[in-house]
Amino acid sequence: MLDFLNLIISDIKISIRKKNESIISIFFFIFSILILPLIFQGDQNILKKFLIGIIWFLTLLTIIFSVEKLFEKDYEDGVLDQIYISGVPLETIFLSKSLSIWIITCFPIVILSPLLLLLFNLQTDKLINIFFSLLIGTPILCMIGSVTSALVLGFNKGSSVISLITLPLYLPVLIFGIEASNSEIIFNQISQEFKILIGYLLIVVAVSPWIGGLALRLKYR
Amino acid sequence: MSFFEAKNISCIRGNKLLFKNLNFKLFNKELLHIKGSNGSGKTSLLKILSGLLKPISGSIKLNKKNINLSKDSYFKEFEYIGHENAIKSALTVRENLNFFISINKSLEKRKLEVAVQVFNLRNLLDIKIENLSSGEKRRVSLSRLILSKSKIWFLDEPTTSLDKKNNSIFFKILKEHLKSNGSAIIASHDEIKIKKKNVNL
Repeated sequence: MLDFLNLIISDIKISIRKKNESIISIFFFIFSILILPLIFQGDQNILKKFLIGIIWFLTLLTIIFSVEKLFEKDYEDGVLDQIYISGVPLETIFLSKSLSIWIITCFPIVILSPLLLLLFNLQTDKLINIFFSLLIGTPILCMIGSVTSALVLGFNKGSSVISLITLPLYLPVLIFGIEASNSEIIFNQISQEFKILIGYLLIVVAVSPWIGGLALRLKYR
Repeated sequence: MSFFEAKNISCIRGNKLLFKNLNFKLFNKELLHIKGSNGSGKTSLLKILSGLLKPISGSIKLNKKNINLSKDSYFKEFEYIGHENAIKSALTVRENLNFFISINKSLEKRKLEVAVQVFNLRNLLDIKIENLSSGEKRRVSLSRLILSKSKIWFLDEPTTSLDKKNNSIFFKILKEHLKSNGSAIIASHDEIKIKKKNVNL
């Protein structure tokens, strides 16, 4: 447990100091949302109709960009070998990496999205929905992205083809995430879409550390 | 009784046969020098010995126990300094050493002072790795050897980019390690002027 925390703390420290892809991708996210009115030529109605879909799509793109080379630097520097030899299980290494990338990239997105959407005059209950659906959805996207990143680690050729394999796994999150953001909360009951999203999250949390650990283990064969 | 034994190890990397049926034994207080030209498989052999790669054939035994049977306990038995320095470039020297001490149970925090002193790292402690020269980075990496309580060292070109003074410091700690019942396997194309066994690739 202590190893896990140490790994996360050092990763976060490095990301903040290096201002690497993960930090840059948050600026990409903010900038993209701010230029939306320009793209829709100020037409508020059309913009409002597509806004939530666009937010989810931008979140997906941001996450894919930032997790792409999640393990690469450590692998090339020999740090990954050294951590592995230290006796830290590969599953723990995987989980710490994906949690740290969630804290660095996704947590700011979850917090910033409702604030940025305030600029577009959305109703308050929709903003709450967006906050919670992103809070549940982004860890799923992050973990799927991390598994992909672990799978393509060390491949010079064909890595982009391999990363296409996991693309369909993102789709349910987009579909139910957008639906959940648009759903209405009736008598404090959470909607079906939220329940499906939570279910998907639980499955991914349970399964992905093992698959990610296995993918990393392939490098040591 | 043999302390460390490699039997019939063969390795293929990227469709190229690097070495075939390699055999050697290593006892306490012994140094093994793996010699070979560039691309002859020195790094691959060290990675195989440390359990980071699997050979296509053969077995490696430590005290007659196959290393693949329980890798976690095997990892505690040796210290591996690879071709890369394995340090995080955005962190300072102090943060790096503390990080590795915190995750690696065979590194001892109480020896930190000694390591800093031996490799003359005191003035570098709060400098980020990315601002160090390659020789200084190597010294930070080698300081792990002093922190470690492992009896076996696997070292891949340990003296790369070290100057004369630090080179002799390294060989001094290597001699002390061998004297105190330790053993080491070094892959290097440089000459080593200590009593040793050779393996040619």
